[in-house]
Amino acid sequence: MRRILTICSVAIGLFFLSGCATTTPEIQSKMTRTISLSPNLLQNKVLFLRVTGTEASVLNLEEPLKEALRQKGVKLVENPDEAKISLHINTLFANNLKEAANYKASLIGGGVAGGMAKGYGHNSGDSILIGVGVALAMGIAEHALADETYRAIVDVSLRTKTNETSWSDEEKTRILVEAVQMGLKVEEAKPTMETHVIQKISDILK
Amino acid sequence: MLHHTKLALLGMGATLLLSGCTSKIHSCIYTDGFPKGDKDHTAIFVNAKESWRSPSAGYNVKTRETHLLQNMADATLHHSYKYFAIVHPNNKVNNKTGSLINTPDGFLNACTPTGANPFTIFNSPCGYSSEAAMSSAVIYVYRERPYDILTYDAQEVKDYLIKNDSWRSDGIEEYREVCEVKK
Repeated sequence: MRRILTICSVAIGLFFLSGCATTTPEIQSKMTRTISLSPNLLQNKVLFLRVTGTEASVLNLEEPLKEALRQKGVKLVENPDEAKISLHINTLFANNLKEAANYKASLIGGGVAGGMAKGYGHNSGDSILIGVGVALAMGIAEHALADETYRAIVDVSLRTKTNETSWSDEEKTRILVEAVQMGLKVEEAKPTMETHVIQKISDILK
Repeated sequence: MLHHTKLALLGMGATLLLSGCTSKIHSCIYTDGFPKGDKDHTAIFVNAKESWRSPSAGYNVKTRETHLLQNMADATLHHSYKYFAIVHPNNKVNNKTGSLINTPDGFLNACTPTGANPFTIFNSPCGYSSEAAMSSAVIYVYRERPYDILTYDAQEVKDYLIKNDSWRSDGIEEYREVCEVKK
C-alpha cells in the first residue's frame, strides 16, 4: 500500500513539474531587420570581411564564415580597396545567459559600472547584456531554473562601394540566436549558434 | 465690430480644434521600471484588462494578455508608428533584454495559458501577475524597423487578432502618456 502511495506521489509530482524543463533542444534565430544587396552587386561579389567580437563570446566565426561565403560564390579580398562590398561582423555576446550575469558582474567589479549604466536604455549591445543580467538576477529569464539558455547577439554592418573611392552609408542588422535545453553544455550550444549565425550572414550574399 | 466678431470666431474655432482632439504628449514621467532620462526612444505606456472576471484564472490571464497585445498594436498605429518593441516589464517577452519573440503567435504562445484547467491558477507564463485584473507594458515605437532590437509589426498584429476573432471592441479607453523624442 505504501509503495502504491509513493508511486502515486511521484507521478503527481512529475505531472506538476512537467513543462518546467525542455528535454529537446529549442533553437531559434532571427534578424532584427532585412538588409539586402542590389542585383548588380550580387553578380560580382568581391568582399572585404572583418570579424570581431567581445570577450563575452565563445563563437569562432571567421574561418567557417569565410568557407560558407566562398560556397556562395563570394570572392574574399584582404585589401578593402579591391572590394565592392564591406562586411563587418561583431559578436557582442554568445554564451550561457548565466555567464552574462558573470560578465556584467566582472565588468562592474572592474570599475566600469558607470559606463554600463549609461548603456542602459541606449542603442547598444550593452543594454541587452544588462537586461539579460537583470532578468537573471530577478530569476525571470525563461526556464532559468530548469534549463540552460544560450544566446548569441551578433551585429552585422554592410557597406557597398558607390565609386572607386567612396562607400555607401552603413546598413545594419542584428542576429539573435537562442538555444534552450535542460543540461545543454557550451560545447553543444556553440556549434549550433555558429551554424545559425553563419547561415543568416551568408544568406545576405546569396 | 465685424473685426471683433471675426477674431472671436477664429478664437472659438482654434479652441475647438485644440480641445481634446490631440493625444497628450508629455515628458518622460514613468517611474515603474521605465528608464529615466531615456531620450533616445519614443515610448508609450499601455494597459489592458480581462474581458470579465471568469472563475478560470487561466482564461482571465488569456483574455488580459491578448488585450495587452491588441492595445500595444493599437497604440502604435494610433500614434502613426508602424513597429513596437516591448521594453517593460522585465519578463520573457521583453525585447530589450533580448527576447526573440516578435510575432502575435509567439506572444500569445508565450503569455497565455494553453487551456482553462485547474493548474492555471498560479500560471502566468509571461511573468505578469496571475491575480490582477489588469496588466501593463511600456513599448518603444518606431516608423522603421530599428537594427538593435526585435520589433513587432503593429498592423500584422492587428490583422492576426482580427482574423482570429480576438480583437476586442473594448480596446484602449484612454490613451496614456507618450514619452516622445523631440527631433
